[in-house]
Amino acid sequence: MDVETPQLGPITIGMGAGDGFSASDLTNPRLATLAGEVPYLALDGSTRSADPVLELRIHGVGGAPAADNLETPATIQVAGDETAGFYRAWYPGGSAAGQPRREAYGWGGLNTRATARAFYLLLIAFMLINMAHWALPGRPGKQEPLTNKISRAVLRLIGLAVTVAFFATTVTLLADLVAWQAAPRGGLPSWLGWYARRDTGPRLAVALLLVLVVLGGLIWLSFRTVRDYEKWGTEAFTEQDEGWLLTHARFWRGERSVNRQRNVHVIAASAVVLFFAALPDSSANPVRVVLLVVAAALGAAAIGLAAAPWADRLHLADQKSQDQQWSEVLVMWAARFAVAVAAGASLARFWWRPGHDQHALPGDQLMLICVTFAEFGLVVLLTAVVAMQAPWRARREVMGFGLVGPLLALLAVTVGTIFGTSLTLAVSNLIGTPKVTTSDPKVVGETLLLPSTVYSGSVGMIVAVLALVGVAAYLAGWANWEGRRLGGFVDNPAQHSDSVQAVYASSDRRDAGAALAVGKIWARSALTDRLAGALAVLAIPTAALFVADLIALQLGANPKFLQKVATIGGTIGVFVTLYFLTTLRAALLSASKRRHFGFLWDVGTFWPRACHPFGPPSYAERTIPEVVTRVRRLVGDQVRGGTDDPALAQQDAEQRHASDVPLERHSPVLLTGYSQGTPISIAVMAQLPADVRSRLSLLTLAAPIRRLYGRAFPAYFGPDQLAKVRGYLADERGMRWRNLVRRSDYIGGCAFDPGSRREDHNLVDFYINDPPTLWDSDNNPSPPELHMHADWFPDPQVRPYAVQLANQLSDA
Amino acid sequence: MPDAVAKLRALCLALPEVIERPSHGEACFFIRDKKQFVSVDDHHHGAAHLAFWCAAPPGAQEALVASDPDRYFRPPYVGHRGWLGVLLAADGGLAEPDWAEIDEIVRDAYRQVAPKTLAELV
Repeated sequence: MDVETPQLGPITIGMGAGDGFSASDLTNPRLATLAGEVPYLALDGSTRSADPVLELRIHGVGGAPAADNLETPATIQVAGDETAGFYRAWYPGGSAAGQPRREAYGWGGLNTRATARAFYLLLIAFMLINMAHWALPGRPGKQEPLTNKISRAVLRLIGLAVTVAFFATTVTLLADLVAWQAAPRGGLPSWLGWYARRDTGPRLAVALLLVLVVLGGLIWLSFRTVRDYEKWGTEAFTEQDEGWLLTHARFWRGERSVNRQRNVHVIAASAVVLFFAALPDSSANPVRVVLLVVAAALGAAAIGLAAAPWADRLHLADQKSQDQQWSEVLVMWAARFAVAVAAGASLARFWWRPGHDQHALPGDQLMLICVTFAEFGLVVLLTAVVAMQAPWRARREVMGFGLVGPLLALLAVTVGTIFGTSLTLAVSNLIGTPKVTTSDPKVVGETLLLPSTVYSGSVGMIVAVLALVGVAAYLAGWANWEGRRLGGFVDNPAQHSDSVQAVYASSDRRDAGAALAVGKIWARSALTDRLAGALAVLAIPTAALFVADLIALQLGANPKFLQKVATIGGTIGVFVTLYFLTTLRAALLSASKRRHFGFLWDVGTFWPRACHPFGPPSYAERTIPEVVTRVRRLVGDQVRGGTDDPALAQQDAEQRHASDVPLERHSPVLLTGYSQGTPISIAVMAQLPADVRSRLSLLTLAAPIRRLYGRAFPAYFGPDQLAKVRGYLADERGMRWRNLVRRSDYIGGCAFDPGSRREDHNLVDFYINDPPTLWDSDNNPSPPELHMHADWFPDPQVRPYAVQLANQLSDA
Repeated sequence: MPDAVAKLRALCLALPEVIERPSHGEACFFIRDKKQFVSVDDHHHGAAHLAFWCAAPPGAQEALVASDPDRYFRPPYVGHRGWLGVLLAADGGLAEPDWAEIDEIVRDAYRQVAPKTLAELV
């Protein structure tokens, strides 16, 4: 280590928080530590000294309270803020002497605290597009193949198409159904009478301005989340490894690409609004033509800008300069111009009234059909580009033949389409009698004419339901069969080494009942490995029949049978939509309800927003820099990156409150990740400098790092990348990474494939038994509970591994 | 240390309408065969101790763990409901518990869980 470089000073317990971090936390970490109630490593090595190695625990999805993570009732926050932070055990009124020195990082609040998170339920399609980007199999880098770049560009175009579809559907709901069709037919409720009595022009103007308000809401959400999450940085001190992008210094800083892509999507959404404002027939036809040309030009510009490599997140990450480039300024002004023109044209419709000789809003049908075909066409193109890389060559190391990226994109498009059409159908049922058909000139009277995508969406709904039932039945049958195979008791268990009997080395016939019960649970937990197949069986037939039906409708074919199917599917869709909206309302009202599906964001928003700026933000853009900085403070790293070093900034903040505070010595750290905390801890390892890593050990529990992350995102969590982590943590002190596996766990698994990565697997992966032993089911009517994916921190079988890893650090 | 369990059993079964029945592979004590209030943790899942988990009044877990963390702990699975863990013996060695205090803790657990009419008897 360079002697010239300044070191970071000792840690202050409870930095910047004399009286707690939030309104709910009125504890005073300074006083508690001075009273000896908090285990810490005193600077003078006094009797209050605790373990020489600090264990830093990172929890999984759902955000368990710090008391659960530290296995002690009272906890005290020592760093962070009211949303996420670091906690230690606290023995108020007692003594912490001899108690384990543990710290827990709580990040669950990032995904459940804000009420706005409930709205993200509407944005699932956008989230899936962002996930798809990281699931592309091609490894990015300096000399990456062209197909890599093309696949990311196609995915950005899919993202743009999904945005256009979102706004086209919003226009259908507000401008077509409510303003154009239902109002003159008396379909609106009486409290909207003032609106229904207006002429077509003002009604259209109000509706289109409302669509722009929706756009404004999305911009606000995207902008605010950039400010809250994506500004956190680890700054330029990692040793960048070209073979692993997670080591990139700016990997978790996305504000630049998100800002830029947001402007592109704003241009596209404004073009949609402008199109519908300009299209309806009226006087001043030359103005209409000019506006339509402007809309087309804006649309083309958005497509060009989204496809261009400058919009690529990974490309932008390479740009060192903080200054905005001229192109970014240009795109920003183009977006402002687009919104202004769209708002102006919509507003003009108050006076510039259209004729009302058309049954439905002109262009609605056309726009939805075009964008739907574009979405599905682009997914086919993406599949072809990815397939050119033959990702299935990696065999067991990739999920779904390496085609998870296109599959997620397909899922996003299908979910978006089916949800949009069901919502349209539900609303039209509320305000009139819908007729779902292709543009039928004979439609008269009270009937609401819906775009034909709604009709096909209803067919798709039926296919989705049937596929779901089929997949569930197949998986249940398979699990039953596999459970009998694993749990079966034979005289010669050596023949199938993965059976319960062989694993527990039991030859006692009285264990047979227990073995069968355990085998069934193991089999059910193995279903996770069939996730990609199940999603493919759900998404592909649904999308295929939806598109086929849409094509058939455009060609004029509409068999009687399909009409019946569509009616039933539509009814199911309406019910599903209403259920969804009820859930949304409950989530808005209650924080515990938000936690209920917080897991969705914990899993889906780990990855940064790469292809869709309106998707939910990535919490990891805050958690990873935050943990990296904390670990550097704890182990006493040197100052890096000069005054920009966030660890230096944290130390300054601590010392502003540092009169009479207990100071803690630096110490090695055992980083323990559980479940979703394991990809976080791997990403933290990738961001840390080598001499900091030499003071760390890693314990991963219930880790999805290979089983889900490694196989779905092979370019970032592939076996080669995980082997780098293994390399970081191996030296003369032995292997300092242990990954513990329960066979009953339905999420976690090995870090390395026991088949193809035998050597890595033997060093890192260790099995623990769940249940600890088999039992005689005839004489023990109440067997021990299996904990599967849950309760890993208090599992007594985990302790010896943690102790061993800590000893490896403290011996040095 | 089997006589620690025997002593605990005696304390529990002395309370009105308590029966013993195994649950999750451990000895457990129920009121009217329905409501569990004490369960034995005899090296449960391989832990290095003999202990029991029991219901506790609000705040008792925090207070007792803070005052004597070597004896009391927040038990897994039930700790978030306010239950208390009490060590009777540890593999590394631990002093003989104060059985009068344990009697109090068991009675408190009973009062937490029992129906009003029964709780008034204790």
